[in-house]
Amino acid sequence: MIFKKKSRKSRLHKKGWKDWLFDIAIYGIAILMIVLILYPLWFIIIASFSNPSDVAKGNVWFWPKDWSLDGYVELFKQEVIWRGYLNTILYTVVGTLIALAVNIPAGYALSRKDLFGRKWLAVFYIIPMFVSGGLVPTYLVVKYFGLLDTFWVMVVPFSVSCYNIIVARTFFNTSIPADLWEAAQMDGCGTLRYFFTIVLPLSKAILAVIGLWTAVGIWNSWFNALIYITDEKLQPLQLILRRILITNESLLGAATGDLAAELRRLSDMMKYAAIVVSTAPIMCLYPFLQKYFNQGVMIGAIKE
Amino acid sequence: MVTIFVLLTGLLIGCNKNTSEKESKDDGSYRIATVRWSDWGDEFLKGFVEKTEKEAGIKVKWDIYLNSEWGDKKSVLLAGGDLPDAFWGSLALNDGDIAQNQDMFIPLEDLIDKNMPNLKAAFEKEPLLRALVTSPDGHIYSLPKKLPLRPKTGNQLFINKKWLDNLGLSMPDTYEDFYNVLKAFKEKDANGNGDPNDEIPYGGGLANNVFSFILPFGMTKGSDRAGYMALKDGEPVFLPTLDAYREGIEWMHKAYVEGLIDPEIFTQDQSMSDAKRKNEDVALVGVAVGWTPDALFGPHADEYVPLPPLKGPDGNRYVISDAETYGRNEFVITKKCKDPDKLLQWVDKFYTEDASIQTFYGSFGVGVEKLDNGTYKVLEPPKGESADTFAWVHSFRDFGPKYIEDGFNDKVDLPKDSGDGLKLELDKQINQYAQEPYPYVSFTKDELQRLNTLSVDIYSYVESMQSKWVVEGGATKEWKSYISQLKKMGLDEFMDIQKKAFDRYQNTLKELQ
Amino acid sequence: MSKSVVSESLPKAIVPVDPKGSKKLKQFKKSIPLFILLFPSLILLICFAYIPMYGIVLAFKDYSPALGIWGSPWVGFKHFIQYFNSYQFGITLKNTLNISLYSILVGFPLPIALAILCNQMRLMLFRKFFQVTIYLPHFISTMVMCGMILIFLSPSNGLVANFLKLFDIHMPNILSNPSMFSSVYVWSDVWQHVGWDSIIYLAALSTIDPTYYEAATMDGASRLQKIIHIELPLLLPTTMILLILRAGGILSVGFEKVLLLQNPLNLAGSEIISTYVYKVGLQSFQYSLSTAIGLFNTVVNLAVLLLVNWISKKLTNISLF
Repeated sequence: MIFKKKSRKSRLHKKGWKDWLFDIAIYGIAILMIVLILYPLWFIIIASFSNPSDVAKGNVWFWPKDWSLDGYVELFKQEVIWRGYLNTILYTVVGTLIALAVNIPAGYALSRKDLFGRKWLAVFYIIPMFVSGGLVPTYLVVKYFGLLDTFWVMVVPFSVSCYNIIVARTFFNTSIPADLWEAAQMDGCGTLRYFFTIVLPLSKAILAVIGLWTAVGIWNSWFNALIYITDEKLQPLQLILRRILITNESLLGAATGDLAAELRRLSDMMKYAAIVVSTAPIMCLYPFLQKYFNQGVMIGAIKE
Repeated sequence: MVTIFVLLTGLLIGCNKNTSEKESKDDGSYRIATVRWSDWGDEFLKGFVEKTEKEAGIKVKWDIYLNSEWGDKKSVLLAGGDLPDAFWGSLALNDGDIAQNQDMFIPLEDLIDKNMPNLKAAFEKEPLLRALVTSPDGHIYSLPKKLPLRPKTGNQLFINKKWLDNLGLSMPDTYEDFYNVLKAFKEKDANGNGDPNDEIPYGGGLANNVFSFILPFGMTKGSDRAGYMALKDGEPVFLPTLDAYREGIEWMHKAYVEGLIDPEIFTQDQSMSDAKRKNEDVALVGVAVGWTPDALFGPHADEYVPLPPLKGPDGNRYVISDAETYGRNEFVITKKCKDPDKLLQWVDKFYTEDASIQTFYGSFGVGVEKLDNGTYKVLEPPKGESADTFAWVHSFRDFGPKYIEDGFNDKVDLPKDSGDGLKLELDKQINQYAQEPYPYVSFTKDELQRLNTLSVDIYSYVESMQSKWVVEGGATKEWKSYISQLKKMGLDEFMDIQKKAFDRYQNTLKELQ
Repeated sequence: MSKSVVSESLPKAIVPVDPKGSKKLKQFKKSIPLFILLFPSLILLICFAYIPMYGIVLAFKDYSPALGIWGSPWVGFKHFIQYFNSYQFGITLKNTLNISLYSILVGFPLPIALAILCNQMRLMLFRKFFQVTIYLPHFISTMVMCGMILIFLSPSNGLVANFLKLFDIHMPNILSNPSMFSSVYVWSDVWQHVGWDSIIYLAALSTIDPTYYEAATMDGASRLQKIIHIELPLLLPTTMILLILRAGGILSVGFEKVLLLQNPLNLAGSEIISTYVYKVGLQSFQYSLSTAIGLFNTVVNLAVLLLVNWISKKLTNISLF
């Protein structure tokens, strides 16, 4: 026994030259990718601090030129931004929870081979991904339900994501072994209990993915707010940012003289600052979820 | 989790019953929607406008929309049935919107007769004002405007005088002189910084770069409204099909090949084009088209002077006339309005000189002042603010009903070194060459639909061939196939519609005179 | 088990049992808890996705808001014919398909490769750093992305131009070339989204039972062999489903990005269906026309989806339904 263990261990730890080559190739590609990706990102950050004239002319390389915080100052001067932040955080948190509650169970249900009418239900969930009645009829329906200009219009009506449901369904099909359900049934466990007490804890990876996708989607959304919300107090961050940026652009169209020059300068700086401001919070979400993508979550289940 | 389900379903059922809509209060107030370029607050509705509401004894609730969002919101607003009583300003609805939805708007001609003495008087003085708001079916669905302090021309070319002096050149007089000057800019060190290669003789500006360059060939492009339609010998023509256009493009191609035109002129965006013109340490661009030098060139604006209209191959001098003085769609009333008479009586108040100047600069005491001798003085904006923005914040500016008679502009005293004043000065120098602008023809709903579809195809093709010919050449070689391709795309039908509309307009004008 | 014995012993005439029917009923009853799980999404879809579908009828009418949806006149296929006859129809369709297919061919496999690559990294710190870096560009807004592309690719003083200048190579104006448009679009998309798109594959990889790897090691498999024989097959269901769904979006190329990268010189390669519809609708209320074109897109998308789904079923036995 001990002998076997030792040889297994030594086999696992022995790194042949093939493995080294492999590692070099992998890390090499990875480093290249990091540079290719990081540089333009770095560019955005320094551009948000630089004189846009230099930026547009391509003079900005590694360091901000004509360092200035004006872009950020201009942005934060607008008080509406704070309100927008608050709204967006609320929409994202509540919206993601509701979306998970709506989509994940549906994905599981569709993955069960013994679901009555499985094929037709699948079709039912796929059609809305392609066919849409259009903006005006949807607007009229939302209006009919009295959801216009409410908090709920941002988190309930459009919380169903057929795409996410299909992806979840695939996940449940491939990652949760069928015998697990049979074993549970033999123990007298019903579907609902099985879902909540066994499946969900094993689904951290898919919950993390769909949660992340949903959260980012809600965080970045502005179009629905544009159409369905007129009350300023309910507006999300992206809509407000968009307004500020585009307002500046159109102000330029109408303005002449020195103000045009000043506005152009501010507008470009704000464009870059706006990305940093609006995406920094959501970008920080990912590192917290990373662990769900890296662990072997299945090990526990089989042993049980 | 289970509780969330219960909550969800309860919510939906609850929302179902919650169809409380905002009932329009029947207190006699009017809801008017207006669209603005930017979020400038609501100062423009106070002062004079508020005063007129009180005088007319009406209450107005204003819905303000941003132009950038209006496109999407327009359709749901009109379709969702939440119509306001009226729309103010031509930024809200264009010809197409009104023609397509004609049933939503009420005809106004009888109401004008009954309730609007000022506007009627204006119609008498200038029949063109009435012609431009008359729809093909003979009705009037919107109200017109005539703006004060507008130049006859519009965008124009500016040239760097310092560069001319540095190289000992005189101001070009003909289009050939101009070409040679550009060549000198390219080859020599015009901006004096020791590098003969960093100059861009003709750079991208703030108007149509191609037509501005080939202007001496008689390419009198008008405002955006007219597109590439123009009048030649009193007849409507489509500029990109004229021989003079072809010759102009070949001439521009020659310039492009010799490096006299910015190679990126078609691919760069506005930021990049601005950056070049407003370069900090030294001027990089020799000639560009725009409204005034300060908007175009930023820090080096004082090096630039207007380029006098060049003599073209046919011996004439031409200018761009894209400044619009007249307009329509400034006020429309929807069928939801309960008492249009009263509303129009109020609107009539805006067709006076006092009203027009106040809704252009700001109310008395804020943007403009009326003097005892009947003249007006435009006030300087507070320190640090631009005159233009200040005007936008405090007035409807370009939009809404307005009327002034000829000669009004002389009654106004305004600073001549910037903004409107500067433009008028520049205009005086060249407006003798201004030709008749393309008239404000109107189309029927079907004509508009056809025109639309044809335009997208035709203009796309014209513009892509145009840029190709400037960069690669071939205008003369491919001219025949270009014209036949345009015909295949429906050019004949396009011109047909244009001619019909033009004739209709001329007839209406004749009848009114 | 005892039930079936009983039913067999009874003469069938006396007990009119319908085997199929009772089986179905049983299955239905057993599925009730599953229906409960489906309930919220079903209701929401019916209300906010299916009910509004009545709007499709507008593709066959001349919609005027004044007359409302039911009052607007019926025009049959007029809008479709108008669209098919327009000069731009062929070009926009070709460009849209071109960009779409190119995008799938390049943009689809790369995230998978990236996920596998990432999974191979043993240095956890480096791996985490790598993962976080790669997914960042996804958050850049389209407006800024296009501004960056224009600056970087500028032939006079862009990043690439200056780099090439070092080797005395004069950079051509890529942005003016219609045939390069799809490459600019696709590769910048890859740059921006490859990290984000790889997340789902990473998640799938993380659920692979480690005993597979252990068994493979014992059989003397190299790392490459493990990838080919364990990871790829186990990723196949996720991959095929995502591919099928992606194929169903074939005519829906991103509108805003194309519009911002278009210029008169590259129009022959950059005018796609959605930008064309936008321009036509810009001038006036062409609501019916855009609905009609949208419907056409849907039909083509669905056809392609069904085709790819069928191929997938035949080749890999994985299908959408």
